[in-house]
Amino acid sequence: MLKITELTKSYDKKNKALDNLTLEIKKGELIGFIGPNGAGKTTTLKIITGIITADKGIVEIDGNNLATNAIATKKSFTFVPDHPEIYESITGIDYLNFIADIYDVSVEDRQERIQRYSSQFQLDHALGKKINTYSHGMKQKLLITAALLPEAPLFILDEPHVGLDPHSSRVLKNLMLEHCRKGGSVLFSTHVLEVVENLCHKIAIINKGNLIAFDTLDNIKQNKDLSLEETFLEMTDHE
Amino acid sequence: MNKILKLIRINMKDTAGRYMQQMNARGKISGKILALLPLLAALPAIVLLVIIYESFAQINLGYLALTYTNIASIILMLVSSVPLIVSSFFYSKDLSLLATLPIKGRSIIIAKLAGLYPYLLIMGLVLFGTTSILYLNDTGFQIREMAILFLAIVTLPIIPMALGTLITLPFMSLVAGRKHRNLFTVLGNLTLLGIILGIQIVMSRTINNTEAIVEILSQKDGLLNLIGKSYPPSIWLTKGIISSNLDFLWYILIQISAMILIFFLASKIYDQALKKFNQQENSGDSQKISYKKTDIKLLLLKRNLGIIFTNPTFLLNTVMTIFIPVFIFVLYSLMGIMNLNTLNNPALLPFRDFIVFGIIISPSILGSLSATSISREGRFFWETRVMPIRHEDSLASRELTTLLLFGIGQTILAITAYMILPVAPLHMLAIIITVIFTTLLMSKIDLIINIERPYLNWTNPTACIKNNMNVMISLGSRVIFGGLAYLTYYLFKDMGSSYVIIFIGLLAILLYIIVLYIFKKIYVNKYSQIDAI
Repeated sequence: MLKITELTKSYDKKNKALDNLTLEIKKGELIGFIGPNGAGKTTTLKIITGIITADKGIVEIDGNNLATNAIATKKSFTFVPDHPEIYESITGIDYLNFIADIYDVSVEDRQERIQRYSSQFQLDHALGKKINTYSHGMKQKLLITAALLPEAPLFILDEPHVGLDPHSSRVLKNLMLEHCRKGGSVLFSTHVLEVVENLCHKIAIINKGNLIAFDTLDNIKQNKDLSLEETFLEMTDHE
Repeated sequence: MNKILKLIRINMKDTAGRYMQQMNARGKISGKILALLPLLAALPAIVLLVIIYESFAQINLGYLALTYTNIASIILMLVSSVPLIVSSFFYSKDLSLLATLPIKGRSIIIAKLAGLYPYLLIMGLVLFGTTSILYLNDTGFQIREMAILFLAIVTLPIIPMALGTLITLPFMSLVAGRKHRNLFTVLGNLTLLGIILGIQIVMSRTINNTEAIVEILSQKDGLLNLIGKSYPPSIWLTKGIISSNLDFLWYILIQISAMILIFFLASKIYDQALKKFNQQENSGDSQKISYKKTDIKLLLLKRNLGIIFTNPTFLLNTVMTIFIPVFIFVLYSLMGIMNLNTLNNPALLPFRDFIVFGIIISPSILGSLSATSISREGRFFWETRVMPIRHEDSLASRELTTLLLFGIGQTILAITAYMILPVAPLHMLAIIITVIFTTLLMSKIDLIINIERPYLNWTNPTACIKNNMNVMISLGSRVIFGGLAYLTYYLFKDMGSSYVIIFIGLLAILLYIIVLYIFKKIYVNKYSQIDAI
């Protein structure tokens, strides 16, 4: 589903934000992407989604190369950024319709999906209001709803649980699992290790631009007595 | 094409929503009426256009006014489009979102330009539209002319947008990945504006050459060619309106070519520039670490200056505001309208004090920096709310920021004016005191306007300064003060210019005391109640 090969990125030509990062996510996999602040999580996600370009390396999604076939590649995923910055002076429903139009979602499908997701996130009452009246959490829920709307094979989220209430956080977890059960894949970054521990099929740990682990939880926890938090701290502190 | 239309629609909706919000236009009918209020600013331009048209019509060459205003519209649109393109292409909130969506670069460009189109069209409507109506009124509203003029008006923004895009994008692509990209952006913008105006000035200087004029007048369409030589499509359009279908075809072809040019050339450049801009957010420079203690007022001042200096749109606006009289003088002297001798003309000697006063006071009369000193912060406003800072200090630092910037500009202008137009030292002292109190007064009034209308929810800097009704209200306060100053002149002109200046100064002091009282009594408290977003 997603294959990234030897991604390298430097912002200042001195320090590498990403150093030869290689990663492959298969269909049906739910991947938690963790790492200390500034480790390169957001940079990786921004490169995968085409917001910035890598100095070196290849991004392939659903068999399409991002560099050579950007539009087809972008149709294969949707993205929820860490900062919900979107058009503010339109209503929530305007935004969802815009996303549905861009991803060619039929009127019937969009109506059913918008109603389903917005009611699950308890956002249905606010869809007719301007986005600039939304709270941070509501904007986050709107962005997640918009990203779910096209039902793209790959769902990429950058710290999606920040700002979500417990109910919406649970809804999101269920939706991510459901998406994977249907054959889709999910890649999300987070600092909430409990979520990763309980939810993900595999965990990718990045530190100082290097992928230091990418495996199942059990394989990463070489010592079974350690929690993911302890393993994570040990791995990243020793780097 | 469908996606382009969707993107255009969402951009237009967002722009319209933002505009109505800035205007505080809430009611359905009253809101729409209020939204049209800025058009009142076009009234002086319309009056001037009527005078220009009548001058040409008197010699039976009314159509030349069309050529003239067509060029004027193009220049105004081009000059305006450069900062608008920079702002909407590179400093808007939707950049990251657009980069992830399956939309082609060219679609984004077209949608963004469609968002600028209404602004430029309004300029065209005011300038060229007014002249068109005057011309049609003279020629009896013939269907052919009406159709051509309608087409000409709706296509008017295309060439300025195309040129603006093709000038701006390669430049921004060049500076996007650089360390001081904001500074480069401002310097680049100023240079571009200089080049655009410079070319126009050089092209129009032939008018001073008598031999050339005689030769031109002896040719067929000589005057038309003279006026339109800096922008040949204006000649084709004029000929097209008068009679020649072929010339109008050329005019339409050039518009289509401009669109094709944007379509095929610009998208690639934009794609690269956009990605470079997006990545710049991550590449923060590491600066020298300091632990020294700084006075809170100085900190706030530095913070407020930082907000202006780190944002190209704000910086460009500030620089332009401060040095407007210098720009006007340089332009006029290049165009041959005035020079140093004009200013030193003995006939103007009795008005010299007023001229010097006018030059020095111009930044605070034409600029409204305090009117957006709170709005300018946008989503960073909360900082001053949560920190243990007295509201008085916060407000004082905002005012001090304006005064410091104006002070620098006014000092430079005062020295320059004194060297060019020497006035007696005591007269100069009276002028400076009057300038100081007038500047204090204007800054305080602007701050009150901004406390009354703290527009904090903007998505790009242009939305904060260009579309903000505060600026218009602020300029209205200058008109009222100007009226009072003129009344002072009218009453005391016999006592001599320096006395009039002193009385204007006393008026400014009196008004300042009144405004200061109102400010302390009402507005400090009102400021404390502004909701941070």
